Amino acid sequence: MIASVAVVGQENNPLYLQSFIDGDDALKFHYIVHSSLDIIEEKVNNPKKPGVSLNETYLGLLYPTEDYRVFGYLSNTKIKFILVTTDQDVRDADVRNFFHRFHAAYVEAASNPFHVPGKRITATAFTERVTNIVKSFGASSLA
Amino acid sequence: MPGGGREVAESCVDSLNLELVATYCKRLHPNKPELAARRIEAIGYQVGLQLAERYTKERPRFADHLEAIKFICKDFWAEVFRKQVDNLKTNHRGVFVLQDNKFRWLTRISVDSAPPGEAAQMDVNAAANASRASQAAGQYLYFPCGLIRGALTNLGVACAVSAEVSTLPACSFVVRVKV
Amino acid sequence: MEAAGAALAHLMRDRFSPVVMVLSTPRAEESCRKNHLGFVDLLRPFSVLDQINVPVRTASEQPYRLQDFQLRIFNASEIRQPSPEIAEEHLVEIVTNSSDDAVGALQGDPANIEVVKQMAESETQVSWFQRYSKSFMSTLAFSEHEALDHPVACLLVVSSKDESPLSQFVDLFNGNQLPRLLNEGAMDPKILKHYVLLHDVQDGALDGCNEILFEMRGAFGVNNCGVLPINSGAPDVAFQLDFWTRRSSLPIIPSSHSTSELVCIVSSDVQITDFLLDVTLKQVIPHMEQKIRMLNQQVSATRKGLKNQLKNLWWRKGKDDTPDVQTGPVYTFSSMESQIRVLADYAFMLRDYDLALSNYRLLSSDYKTDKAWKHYAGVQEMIGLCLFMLDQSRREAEMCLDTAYNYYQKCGGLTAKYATRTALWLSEMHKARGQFREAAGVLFRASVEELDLRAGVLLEQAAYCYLRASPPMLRKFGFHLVLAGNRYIVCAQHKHAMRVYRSALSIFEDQGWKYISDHVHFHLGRLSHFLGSFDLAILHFMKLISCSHQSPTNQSNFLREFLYVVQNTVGKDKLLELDLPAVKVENVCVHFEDHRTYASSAAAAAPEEIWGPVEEGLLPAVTVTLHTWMDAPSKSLPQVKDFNICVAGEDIGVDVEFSNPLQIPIDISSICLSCEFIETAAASEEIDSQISKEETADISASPLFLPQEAFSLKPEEKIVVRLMVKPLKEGVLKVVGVNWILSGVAAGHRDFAVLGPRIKRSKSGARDEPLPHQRLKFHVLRHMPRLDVSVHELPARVNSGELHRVVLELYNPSKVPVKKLKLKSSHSNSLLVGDPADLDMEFPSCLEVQAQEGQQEVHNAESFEQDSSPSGLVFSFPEGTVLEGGSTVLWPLWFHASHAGMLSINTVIYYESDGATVGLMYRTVRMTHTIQVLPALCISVQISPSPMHLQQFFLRLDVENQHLTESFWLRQVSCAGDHWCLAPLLPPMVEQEGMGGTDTAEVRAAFLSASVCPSQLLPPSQTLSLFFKLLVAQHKGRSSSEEVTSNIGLGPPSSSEPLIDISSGPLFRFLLSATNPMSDSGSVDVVLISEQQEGMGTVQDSLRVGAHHVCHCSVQGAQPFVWVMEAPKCVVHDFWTQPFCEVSVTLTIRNCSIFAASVRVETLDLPSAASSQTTQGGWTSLGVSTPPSGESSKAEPPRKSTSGVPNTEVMVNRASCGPFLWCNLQASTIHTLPAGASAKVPLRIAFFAPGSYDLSRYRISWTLLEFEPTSSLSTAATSKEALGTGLGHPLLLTVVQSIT
Repeated sequence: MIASVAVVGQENNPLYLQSFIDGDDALKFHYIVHSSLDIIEEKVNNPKKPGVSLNETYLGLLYPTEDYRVFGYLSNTKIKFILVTTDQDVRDADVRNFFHRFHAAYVEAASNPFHVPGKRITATAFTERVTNIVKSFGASSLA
Repeated sequence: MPGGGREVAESCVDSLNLELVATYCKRLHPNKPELAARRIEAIGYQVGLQLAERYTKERPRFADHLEAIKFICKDFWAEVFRKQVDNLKTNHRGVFVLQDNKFRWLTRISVDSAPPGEAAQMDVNAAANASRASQAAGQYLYFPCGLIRGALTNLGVACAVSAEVSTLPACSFVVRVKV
Repeated sequence: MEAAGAALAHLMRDRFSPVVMVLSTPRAEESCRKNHLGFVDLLRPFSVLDQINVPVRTASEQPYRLQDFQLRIFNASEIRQPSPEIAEEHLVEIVTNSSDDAVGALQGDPANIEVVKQMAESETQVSWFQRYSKSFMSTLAFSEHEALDHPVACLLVVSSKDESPLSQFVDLFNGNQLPRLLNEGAMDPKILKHYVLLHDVQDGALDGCNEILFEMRGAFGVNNCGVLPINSGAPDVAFQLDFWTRRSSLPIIPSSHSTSELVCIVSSDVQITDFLLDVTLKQVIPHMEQKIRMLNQQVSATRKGLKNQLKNLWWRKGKDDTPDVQTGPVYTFSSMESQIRVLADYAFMLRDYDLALSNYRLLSSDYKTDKAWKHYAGVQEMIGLCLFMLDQSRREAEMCLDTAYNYYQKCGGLTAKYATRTALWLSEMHKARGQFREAAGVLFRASVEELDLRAGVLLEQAAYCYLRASPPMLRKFGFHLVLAGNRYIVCAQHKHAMRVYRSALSIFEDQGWKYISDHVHFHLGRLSHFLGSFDLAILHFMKLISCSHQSPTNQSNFLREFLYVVQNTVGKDKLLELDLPAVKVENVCVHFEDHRTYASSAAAAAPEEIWGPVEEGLLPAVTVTLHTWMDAPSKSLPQVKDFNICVAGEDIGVDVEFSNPLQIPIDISSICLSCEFIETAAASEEIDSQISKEETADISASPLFLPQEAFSLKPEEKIVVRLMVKPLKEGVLKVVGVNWILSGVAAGHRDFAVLGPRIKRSKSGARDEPLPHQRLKFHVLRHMPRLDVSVHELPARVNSGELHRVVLELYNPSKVPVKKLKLKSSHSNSLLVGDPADLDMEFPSCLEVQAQEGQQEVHNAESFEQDSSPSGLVFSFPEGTVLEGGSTVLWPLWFHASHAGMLSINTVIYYESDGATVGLMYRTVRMTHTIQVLPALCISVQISPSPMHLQQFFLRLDVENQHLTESFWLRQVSCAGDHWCLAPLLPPMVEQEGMGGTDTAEVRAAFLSASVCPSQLLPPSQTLSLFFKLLVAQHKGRSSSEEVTSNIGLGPPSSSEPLIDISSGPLFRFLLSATNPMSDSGSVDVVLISEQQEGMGTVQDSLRVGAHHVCHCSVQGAQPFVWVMEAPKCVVHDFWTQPFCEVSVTLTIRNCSIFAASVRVETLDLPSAASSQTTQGGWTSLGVSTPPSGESSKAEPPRKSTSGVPNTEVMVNRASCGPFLWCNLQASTIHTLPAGASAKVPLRIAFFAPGSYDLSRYRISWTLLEFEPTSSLSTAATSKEALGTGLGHPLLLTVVQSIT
């Protein structure tokens, strides 16, 4: 299942971070997401690394921590989307699908005239939408 | 503009632009044109940011500036202005000129034409009209300029955008990439 | 890479160098003890042999040379694995000892990543880790599963003082102090022995030893024996000391003795070096070489070749059923595996890596099939190292080490430590090849399984690997530092934790990742509190307490911790730059009073602009400029001077906005401004100098009074508090900031950062840019009285036109008298200053006509002088009025609003105090009152000239009650000034009687009450029209007679209501202010006095009198000219005697216009049309009776005919008239008739028959001279009638035949 999702801005500042494991402190995910940015930078800066095709928005598995797997997605506007899952085998298609919907949700949120670009996303609508996406992610992976 | 299935009548966009110019240039800052320009441009900028986010959703990242500019000329233009840029020139030193021979948002601008007279006087008037028209049309291009700048900035191309109206409804946008 | 690789290779060589075991007799030891050293310690420094060149041959007879070699020398007692507890203690000790200089390594501000980099590369940092890892490995030495640490040779040491040394030699070896490895048969007990006879030179000459040596040679063989003389050297303490401390390698098991001072001297190291060289070259290396050869033959005999391998395979299969212990089967030294292992290890130690590698490979398969995982892992480990040394197929090397790691882990228990060791090797290899990411990964993985301390160390190293990676992965660096810090905290290594957290701060600070930085700050705060650096702790916690993003529980936790720390350390003594509560330091609103004081808060709140016009003309000319810079600082106008002025003993208020960012309530106490105050000498010049000095000296009598506030803020609440400061002495006061105490524990402080306007206002910008604090800087002046001013009886809502008397109260609370009072109001036509007399008499009866009227006029005149300032009047109180200290003055004011609407009256009172203060000549009090004026009576006037008399006009007064609810009593109508007087308009007959009658007054009154004003009461939204006769007043004598007065009471005749006097008193002055200048003969001002009862109550004082003016009503009617023909009504003439009768009439023409005019009068003869008409004699019946002139004026509407010809209808009208002739010339012209003047034109008429004639057959045409239509004065009428004509009014004249 999905442990946490995050949106990170162009300046590598957190725009949105939500953890879906209750009882577990969100702080850990802040750390995980934050340090995963290093990998993203690496992947983007020298794309010779196997796995990621050139300039694809989906960055694939960033790194496996001891009990999480971190996936990354870098939009054309240098917005990073990060997914942290607990289950060790995730279908790649699921992740891609998730990221596309996540990105779509972000686009809507960013189009909100009251959203200041580069600042935290506080709209509850976005939160709800993301929660739904996360739920459906679980469902689709089961199916 | 198709966004998440929601559409906006083009007339709305047109009249919005009209109202924008009317509000800032005539009502709010009638005697500070450059301030009004900056305000409108800023609004366009934010819209551009958002549109860029939206329209690049499904495509791989751009390798370099040129790709981003091409995207603006083709897809972005097509989305916003319903056609593609007619001509793109560059001096390979960070300046790009986007030439649109029939800029959508200028097609409906008209100047009170001269009274019918003999040909000679006609084209004199025509010239006069053209000049008047172009400087009248200029302020309707603040918003598109901001739009383009916003989109490019969000795509990682920091730049300054200015517009020139030669003869209606043709106009050209000059993009100067900050290095 | 090469350098790093070489370094690592070197590290491995001295790690994997042959071990030499030492067995020594107590006496031998004790002779060494003289140097406070054991025998082993004596030798160790010399165990590194460089600059040697030993030829060696591989098993396959390949010659190669060893350039350097090394022995590891241990006491037999040391050749065993320390118990894990001891080992860990030892390691902890190392970490703890290194903590201080490790902390020292972090110099400068850790927020700068460069500093952290330096720390990471710094010598101490590297060295303490190396020290740690080295001793960690050495705790793992002497395992039975690897032969690397098995002693290659054994030194048996016997002192020459021992009796029967040989026997000693014998029991030394088979004593029970042999290490486990030998006893338990993990290794071959038949090892190379070397017998050393230790001789203490101080005990005697060497030669004593020789025969012992001889015996030894006999017993143990020639080469295996030697003599080592010691304690022969010359004293050279310094040399020895540092020599030993430098060369002494670290002890594995913490040894008590220190090599600090050497009492007696060992022999110069040459001997020991030679000794060891001898042993190494002649004994150890050849021994190993030969053993390798021997084992190799053995191995190749049994294992090489297809046959052997098959056999071996089959044999293994057979051995399968052996129960496999967790560590796998035990291999005795005799077992083939051990042999191979020894072979490989020896080869490794002699750096024949190919041989070693091949044998390790051979061995690993065996162990694998035996499931002897520990051994297998060990072999894999060695394979990896071999590959590294051979620098071939890195991939495989890493894989081998990796498998080694995994299998070690698999075995678990103590064996897991070997996994860590492998990880260290692996990470070192990665580092050596510049693969820092991989190294970090390995270290991280190792840390997961490890104890806290080692995990911490490993994680920190991993972090540094990320830092050194290119490009550096800073975030991972920070993350691992934090992890390391966590582990350090768990195992109480606070200093290390502190260090790593602080270096981590550089990554997370100000990156927007608040939760993370909060976490780091939190730990740093706690650590620094624990380590006793309180300021640091507070600093870190202060970063935390204003965390609005955290959850309420976290917020309260952080706050609690912070308060706890503060309470236990600095307490309230130290002022902290707290962010809690958030103070809006950049804009604070200052309220103070310099020369301007405010009577009410409303006045203070009023914008400054409104006062400018009011004060204009009131203040001395110089100070008019002041109000540009002495300006309420709430508005950020740029100020020319850099301080404001205030008065000692008066409050200065500063509005500060506090807001609570948290979601938990916080309470704040003892909030007050923090100020700087300097007593200026200038301020205290009158006072004796020394007095002023001592005043400045003693601080006890503080010059400031600072009241303190306290409140508690609800979650996310925001409130604005006005904080006060009252300077008690003169000086310069600067409000710096605000202090408070947070929840009774922490003293907070913020400086105000008040900046001027961003925009430059003039070209010379710099000068205009205001200094940061000038708004909060005050020049405190000496005490200056401050008047309390209040206005009584001023209603909030009045009806328009209502007249009110309000009382102005001035109170001077101070001692100093106040003089030169002046008052000015923004609405001088609505608010007038009365004279004190008005206070005594009761209102409104004081308005009534007094007998002595003139006298009052005089009084008015003197008390009420007006100077002509452009806006309104300045009323300056009479010279005499000085307001003593503590005294009060009441002064009447009259209020009268003529127009409806909201009326805000701003009044300024100016006064000076004797005792001129520096910089403050005067003060002003500002009052503002807003009054709602409701629409009440609205009157309009129409005046039309009467055709009968030139001096008479008809005045129509329309009154409309616009009030919604109230109804008004109309009391009196007056016309102002002495040009005019009013008379009721009476029907002619009354008029006629009036001529001779005596009772006209009653009749008139009755008539009035009946017809003119049937009811005095005018209900809401009703209108009423009154008609009056307006007469030009004649000389005073006439006007005193009461028929023609300027006032007409509208009351019923019975009512004895006195008339209101409008020619004096407030009404007069309001009228005056309304009509300025007083209207002349050309126009008239009409006043309607109304009154109004409060409800039904007929209490006199609740009576409200209203006066409504209509000013400048032009008396001029529709035409600019009025003319009247005066002729006898009846003429008696005898036509018999004289055929025609000649009558002289006069036509009086009055020019009512405002222009001079030329007038032409022409008389009209009978038109030809009418000439055919029959003239009838005798009586003629009149079609119409002579109407009262009022009607006639109506009957004949004023008509203008631009064309000269009279229109026919008029002619027809006049058809009945008999003929007569104008005897004088046709037309006469008056060339200039000045405005308002009247002229008489004499005319003569001849009649030929008796009858009654209409004399209206004349026409008047006029042209206004110097008439310009654009002039504003010109009324509509005049502009129309630049030139016009009019026909005569009908006037009947009857000619009667006289009977004689």
